Amino acid sequence: MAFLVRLALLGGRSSLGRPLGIVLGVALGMALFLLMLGAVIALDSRDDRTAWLNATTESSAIPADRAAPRGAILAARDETSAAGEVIARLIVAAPAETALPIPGIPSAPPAGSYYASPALQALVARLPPDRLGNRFGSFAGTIGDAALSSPDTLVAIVGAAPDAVRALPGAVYLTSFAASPTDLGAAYQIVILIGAIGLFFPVGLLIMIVTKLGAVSRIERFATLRLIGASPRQIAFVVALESFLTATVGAALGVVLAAVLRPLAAIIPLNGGSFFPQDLAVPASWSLLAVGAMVVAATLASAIGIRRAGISPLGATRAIRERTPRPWRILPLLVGAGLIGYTAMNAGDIDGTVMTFGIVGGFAIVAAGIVVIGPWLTYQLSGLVSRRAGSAAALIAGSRIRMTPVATFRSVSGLVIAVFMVTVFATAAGGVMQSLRVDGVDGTLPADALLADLPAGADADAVIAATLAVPGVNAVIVGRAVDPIATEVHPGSVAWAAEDFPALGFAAVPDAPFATFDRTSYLASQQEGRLEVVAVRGAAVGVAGAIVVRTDGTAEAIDRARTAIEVGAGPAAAPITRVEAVQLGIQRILHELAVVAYLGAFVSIAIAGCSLAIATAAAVIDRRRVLGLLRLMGMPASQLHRMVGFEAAVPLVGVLGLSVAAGYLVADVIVENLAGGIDVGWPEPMYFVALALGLILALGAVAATVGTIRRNTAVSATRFE
Amino acid sequence: MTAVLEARGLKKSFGRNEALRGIDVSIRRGEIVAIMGPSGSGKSTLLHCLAGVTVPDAGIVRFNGTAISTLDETARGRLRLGDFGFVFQFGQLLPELTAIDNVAVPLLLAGERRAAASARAAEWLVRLGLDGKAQRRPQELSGGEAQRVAIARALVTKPAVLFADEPTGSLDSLAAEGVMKLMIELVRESGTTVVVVTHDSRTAAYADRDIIVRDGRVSVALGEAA
Repeated sequence: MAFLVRLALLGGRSSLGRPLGIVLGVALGMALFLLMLGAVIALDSRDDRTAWLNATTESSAIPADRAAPRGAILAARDETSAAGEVIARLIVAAPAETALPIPGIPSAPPAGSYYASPALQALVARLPPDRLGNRFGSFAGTIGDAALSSPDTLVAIVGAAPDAVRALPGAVYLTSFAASPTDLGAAYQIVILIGAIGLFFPVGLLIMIVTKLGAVSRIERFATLRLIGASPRQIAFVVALESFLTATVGAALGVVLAAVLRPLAAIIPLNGGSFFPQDLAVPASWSLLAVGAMVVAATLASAIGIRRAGISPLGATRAIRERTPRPWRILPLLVGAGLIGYTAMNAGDIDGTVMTFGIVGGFAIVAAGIVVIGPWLTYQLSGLVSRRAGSAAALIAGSRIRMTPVATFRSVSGLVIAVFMVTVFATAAGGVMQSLRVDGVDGTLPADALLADLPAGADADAVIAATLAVPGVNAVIVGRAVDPIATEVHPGSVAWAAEDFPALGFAAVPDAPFATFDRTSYLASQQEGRLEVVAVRGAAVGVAGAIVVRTDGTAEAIDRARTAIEVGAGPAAAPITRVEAVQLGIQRILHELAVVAYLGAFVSIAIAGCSLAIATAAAVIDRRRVLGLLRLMGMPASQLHRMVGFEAAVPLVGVLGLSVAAGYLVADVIVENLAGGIDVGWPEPMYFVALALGLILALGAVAATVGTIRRNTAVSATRFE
Repeated sequence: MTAVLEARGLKKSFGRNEALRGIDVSIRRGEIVAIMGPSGSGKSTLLHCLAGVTVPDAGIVRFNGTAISTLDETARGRLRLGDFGFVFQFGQLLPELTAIDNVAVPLLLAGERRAAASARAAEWLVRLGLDGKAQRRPQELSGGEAQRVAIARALVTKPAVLFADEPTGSLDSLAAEGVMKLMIELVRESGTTVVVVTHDSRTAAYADRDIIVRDGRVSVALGEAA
């Protein structure tokens, strides 16, 4: 056996290139897998680290209107914004005798001072005080990384007087900061896990194709071994051994590569922020397990690859006639689409876990369905091409694909799946973002405006005067508190003067002197449906209860107006723009998933491009005699290149079309049914860049084989007899 | 009769191995010439030089008076497509194409439209007794049938010269005789010149003249003078 191994592996032009290809493919795949696994683990640990911010909503928290337990910290949690960024804020009043530590800081901040995360403090330092800093008071120190989810986290712990905190909505006494994590990362984890598992597919494919190329280029060597008595199993063993050794080296290299790439990967924002590099580290036992799995997968892939090459003692590869793909292959795609459609259409009636299973499961089945239907579609397309072919190149390419639709599709399948994933996320993200029309939508808060409450006890006139004095503020419209019993409107409603309705964003003016409307709809992103304005009897109107501040629309004016309101009326005023009200939902998640999909697609496209190039080269070498004969018959080299181009383009173009269409439809169904009647439009420009990049890479990979085609089909290089 | 193919002082080496050591050959229009000789004598190399497949190290090959050995590969490719036809021992058909498409390929390469190319290919298949086999792929044909498809493909462009290298080498004697008879009948009918390399004296018997090559030189020219 040792002799067989030596004879099979040593020498030959490809003796270095082949193992190098496997080592690089496995190293890249392993590094990416470990980074993705690291991200899955990190999302959990991030959620755990910031759980303390949820302490105010835990059942252990005691409402502020009850008696204060000894040593308890009075706290309220809210959010504010500056420069388009959302800042989490915990406002605390700690008694002097408290022994309760607040995570990330040495001691509770005294009233009028604050602790900030490093990213927030950098933002405070960057912006003028009247845009942000004045909202918090004096800087007491930074919050430690152990209490932050990400280096980008914007968190402030602000000290305030007990009465001021008690007046805030949701104020509670805390005796502990232990809390359950939000678990916002679950959706990301599922998608990343699918991606990480999916990564094995193109890497395994690459190894199989590299092995096939190795087998094709060593056909005579293997044939000699078969002739002297080696069995197909022994040949497979020799090749598997080669893969085992190279994959082990590659996997070990991948572990090192993952460590080197960790700081770079940590920059990618997920679930609202980038990572601390150490968050992405994978425990050694998990790494070992992954290395073992990758080596086994690579060894099996190459053993299967060589068995498929069918080495006979006479040297010719077995002409394997594939089974004709049948129409049943469309079924998985339909099942997946049906599952997504059913889940999305019944989103209101089914529970969250079932819905997640339906959407994610359906998504995975559609992705698998594309792989299953690919060969059938390739077969149908090749039939069309060969029937309609007007040139020898198209005829030969079409006919060849028709004989080997599975193998042909396999070489582009990685690319096809990558494009499907990117299309889903990019289209969904693009659609939701386009739906966020914040200007010129009748009955909603104008894009340049802030809506703020004026809590009881606030000096409304002073707040209005201070806000009007802010550069860029054009008008302050005052809403009045109303008596809900006398006016028969919802408690807490605010009445607005009829003449102010155009400035509030309404096309029509109500008949009554005062009218009120639903606050949630006023801040919502929906474009459809008019807002129901409820008339209020003027006699019941009282003091100022809320204001709408119209600005020149610049971020500076909005930030300064917000600071003026918060300083004058306190954080309870909670000023908000409509963009802020809607952007915290599905749009951010989809956008971030699209970023992950772009990165995944780039890697998959790169690996798939390599696979395509190698598969093309292997197909050329495999047929060098026949292609050489075509050259001998007078076929110009350009026609031969066109033929090889056709062989890659037919499955690429056809099945990519399916990927794009399926991705678009899946995104449409999900977004329309889960995000409230939004139609998806054009994806964002980055999508087209990714798509173009994929195609250029694929065509470039095919073009890179021109040299191989020329060398292997040169008339002088072919032996005719 | 004028020489359609003429070689003077042909020399060709592969490394240290001198395959041709100064060969002079002249072949007339419509003539059927058999090149014979032992293995390694240089007969296939001679055929390749005459067909413009291989460029000789020294000497000249003329086709209808034009020196083809000095043309570039593109020009020689055009010449092979338009004026020459080729038949080899085995494995020359494209396995993915049907018989009719295999025959149509040279016509498509020459720029003919698909429908016209298929019609002409079908005619040639009928002439070679392959009616009913047009939609079969090479692996679905017998050895003799595959060779007849190859002959149809070689003759469909009406070449001036047909080069055949051991055309019956992979066939049993009965099939070999059938293929040779048919090929000779068709080339006689069209006046095509044939250069056939063979070990087999029964195949050579169809030739007007034999050229015996030994150690890279013409050892004997039987029939008319070379």
